Amino acid sequence: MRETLDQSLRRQGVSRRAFLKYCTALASLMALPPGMAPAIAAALGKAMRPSVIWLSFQECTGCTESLTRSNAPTLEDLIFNSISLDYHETLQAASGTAAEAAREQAMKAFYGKYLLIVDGSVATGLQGAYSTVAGVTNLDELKKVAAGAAAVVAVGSCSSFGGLPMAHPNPTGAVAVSDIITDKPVINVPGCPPIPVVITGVLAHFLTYGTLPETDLHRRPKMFYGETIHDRCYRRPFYDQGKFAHTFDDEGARNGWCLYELGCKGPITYNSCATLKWNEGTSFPIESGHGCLGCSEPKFWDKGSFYQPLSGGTWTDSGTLLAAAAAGVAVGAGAAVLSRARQHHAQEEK
Amino acid sequence: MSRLDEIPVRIMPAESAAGQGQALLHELAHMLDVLLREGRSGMIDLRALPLAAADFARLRAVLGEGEVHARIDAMGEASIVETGIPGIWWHTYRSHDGDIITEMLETTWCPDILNSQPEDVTSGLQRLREQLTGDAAPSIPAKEEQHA
Amino acid sequence: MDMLAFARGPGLHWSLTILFVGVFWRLTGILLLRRSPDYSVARISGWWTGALRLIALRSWPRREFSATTSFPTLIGYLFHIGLAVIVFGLQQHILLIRSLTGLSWPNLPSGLVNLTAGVTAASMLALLIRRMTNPVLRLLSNFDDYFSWLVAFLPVATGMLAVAHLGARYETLLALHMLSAELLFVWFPFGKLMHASLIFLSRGTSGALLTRKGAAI
Repeated sequence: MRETLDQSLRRQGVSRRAFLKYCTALASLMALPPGMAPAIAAALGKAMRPSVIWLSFQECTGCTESLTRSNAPTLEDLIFNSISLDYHETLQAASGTAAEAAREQAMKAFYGKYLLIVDGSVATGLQGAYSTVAGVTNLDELKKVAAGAAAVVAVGSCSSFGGLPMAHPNPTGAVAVSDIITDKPVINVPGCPPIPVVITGVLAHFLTYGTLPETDLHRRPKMFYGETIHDRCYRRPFYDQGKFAHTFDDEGARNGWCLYELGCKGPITYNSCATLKWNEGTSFPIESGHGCLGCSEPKFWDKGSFYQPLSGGTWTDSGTLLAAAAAGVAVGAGAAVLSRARQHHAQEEK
Repeated sequence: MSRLDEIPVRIMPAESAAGQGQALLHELAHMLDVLLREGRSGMIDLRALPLAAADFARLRAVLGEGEVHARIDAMGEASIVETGIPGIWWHTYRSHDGDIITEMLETTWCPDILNSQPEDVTSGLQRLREQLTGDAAPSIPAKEEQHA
Repeated sequence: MDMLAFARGPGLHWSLTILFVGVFWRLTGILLLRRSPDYSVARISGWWTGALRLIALRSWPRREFSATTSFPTLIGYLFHIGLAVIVFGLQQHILLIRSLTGLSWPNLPSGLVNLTAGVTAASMLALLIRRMTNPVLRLLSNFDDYFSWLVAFLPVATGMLAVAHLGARYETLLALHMLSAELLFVWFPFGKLMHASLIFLSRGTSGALLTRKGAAI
């Protein structure tokens, strides 16, 4: 019998006050009013530690790095203490058939109740043969493990939207998890990688309420992807005033002006970087002087140069315009020849 | 340029304050009013707002520090300070590493987290009783209970 | 491909191609038309001063009609200058032009451009209302007039919505704004918007011909 989080914390000597403090931080993380902390504590305290199976497909392990590279003990740790991570190829000690057996066992024991987390896109080319683990294609494994899951969390832009493996010309036929799994609740937590506390925030919500949080049109949790980077950017006043950095080392850049002209995709990118920030809340890319790449948006990898301003074209250049003008002159000249012939004809008839 | 600190980068100039600090102060005045008239407490999560350093500085300068400074040691330190405006409390919660995990302003008579929590009192009492039964005077707790 | 990616990529590409082919086609076609030889002796030499005179005169209300035409002329100027300020003053537009031609210049403060956009939109609405209520103008107007107005008005309206983040998600507003401008590019060579490339050409030609004939202008 698994113990509740309350029992587990009490056994570890964690005081209620410490738990309340943690729940206040959790409320802040989940963008809930801080006054919700006691209610979260009550719900979370009663939660059973859920079984979690983590599958990695076509990915770079950056998402796992993001999650585990925070200094212990943090919020992320605490949340990880509240789940039972029964299978994670990178983090588990077991390997080979023992690891696979552990997964089978967890699947059997918690069938229909476990949470499936996926990072990496799913290769569908050659019936999925481009990416296999223990001789089983990612495609087959996903279908099999998802069948018994209560819900699926796609962590990172690869599992959420296809990611870099899907970039043109997509040799492996990579697709997102939600393209394969259509009969289970799937939530996307995109980003390359996602912000660690956003990953844990979704888990915390699942632990507290037993459901996945409300999502937007790309299945992203609204509490973290509800607003654009631009809307929450501290450099926004400069955008509104029309003050832009023209290069990465000009006066504007030194003054911390808006990076729109240098290709910042903040205005069309929904994520929490501007408020939650990175590296233990140190900063985020724009604060470090580089525009947003838009890594939590679908197809960010195939949307033209990272340094092309948002209002610039991605296909057209001056060559196109010159060629079009030349073609126009040619057509016009042709038309003129025809009309002149007609004029001539008309005059002769008079 | 041979050294990083010779590159004259000003990341966040003071003028970038978007006036958020001022708006927050108005909000706080309203919340204090509600506390006085209706007795309702309120909280503002400072980490959920895109505050520039200048906004923070302005908040700190206007609110100042008051008479009560509390420190909690519970999974990292937490400091709860009554600001120079009584009834406004500044919460700063840190992790074990000292990183700030939450920063809030609360308008209340006394922050709840400073109160002893019933669950902790219960287990504390239990520990106390175990201590007393473990000591040479096993009859004392029984007597106390009779008084109660 | 989402709407914004389409607007920034193929949408912009093909609409600009149509714009350039269309404008140069019409200009070349008109300039190369056969002109009947004029065997008469010119009454007044210096046809080009006449051309310039007419261009200048027609850009201002004639004294006889000033009571009725001063106001629409003023509003017309207001929105034309407004459009120029918006198109060439807002940094986002300069960046688009730079991405196409490599040319760029300093931008105007966004607040000023936003204010201008408001005045421009109001002027265009005022002119539309006048067109629809003035009986003579209504008789003179056809589909081309109304459609050209709409095609010019939509980028202003959607641009203002995009700046204000009103009505939809920003990427949708931005895509609609770009698509509305692309509709303008496509319609430009084939409707009355083409006056932007022909206005001085036609006034100049009339001025030159009238001067040659010795007519008062």
